[in-house]
Amino acid sequence: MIKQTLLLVLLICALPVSAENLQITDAWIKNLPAVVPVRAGYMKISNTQSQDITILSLDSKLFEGIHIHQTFEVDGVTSMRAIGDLTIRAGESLELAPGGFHLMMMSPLEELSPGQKVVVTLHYQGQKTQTIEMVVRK
Amino acid sequence: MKNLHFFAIALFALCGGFVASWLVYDSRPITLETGQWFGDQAMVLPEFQLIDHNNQNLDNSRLSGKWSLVFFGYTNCPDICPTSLQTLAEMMKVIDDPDVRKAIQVIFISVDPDRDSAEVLKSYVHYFNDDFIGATAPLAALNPLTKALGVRHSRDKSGEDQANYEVSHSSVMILLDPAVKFAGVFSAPHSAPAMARDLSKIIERH
Repeated sequence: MIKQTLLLVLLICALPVSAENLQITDAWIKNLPAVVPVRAGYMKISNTQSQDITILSLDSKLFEGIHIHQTFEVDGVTSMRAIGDLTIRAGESLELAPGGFHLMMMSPLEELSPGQKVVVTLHYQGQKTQTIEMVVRK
Repeated sequence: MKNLHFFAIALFALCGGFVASWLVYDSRPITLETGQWFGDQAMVLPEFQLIDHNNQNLDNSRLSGKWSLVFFGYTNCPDICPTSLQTLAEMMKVIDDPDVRKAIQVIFISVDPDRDSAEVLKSYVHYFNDDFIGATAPLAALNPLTKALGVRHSRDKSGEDQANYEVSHSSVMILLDPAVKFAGVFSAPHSAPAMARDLSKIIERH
């Protein structure tokens, strides 16, 4: 009985988050009217591991594509650029927030509503993945 | 009798002093927290003709009579444009004087006329506030206005994707006075409470 309970506890501990993942909190999507084919996604990322983690790509069943972009301003002119791989160094954090780094989420495949949870998968170097939920906000 | 004379002169001087100080106060230049007020240097704009979100003409005369807060962007911009319009919507909520609120109109001008039709603009601006106005025009009609306002914009032609291109654009917010003269600017980062205070200061003075 004790052995079985222990095994169950170990399995439960192993399931939710692998020890090699990023700590991702406050993940949200800024909603827009249905006529607009893009949304911005934001989140707080922390690498509490002892090695660097590189995000190679992201995807979701509800979007045609997701890319990491950065808004930047030079001489009062705002532009965006695509960021390829994004490495979060061991022990460091990065916030994707309005006006800076963000997810460019292309072509939502259904109309989104505030409070809706969207599942997004992050693909890391080393063939690891992490699945998160992003909340839609008005 | 002499005392009465003296008293009358003193009272007159005091009143005169108050009036003088009020006049001086009112002609002091306005200093903004989050932007720049041009005062006497407000600039007359060239005649412009845009199309609004109802497919109606939007020209200088239609904007006259109110203070216009103008922001340039495009609807396929997921980050800075929604954030700016959200800030403007919050600013309108934070202004407590209803007369000041009624004196302001917010106009979103798209620098991406190819994708931003009237129908798209209407959904977009009304997502943030039912009274916001959306407008655009073919670049030949838009550029004289953006040039006069010092607003830059350019389509990113580097990508191969012809449907999903990006447009760089100035992030400044433009203030036009009720005579549709270029009266001031609010620079990024935009703060709703600070802009509300600045606009209230300007509008209450005029």
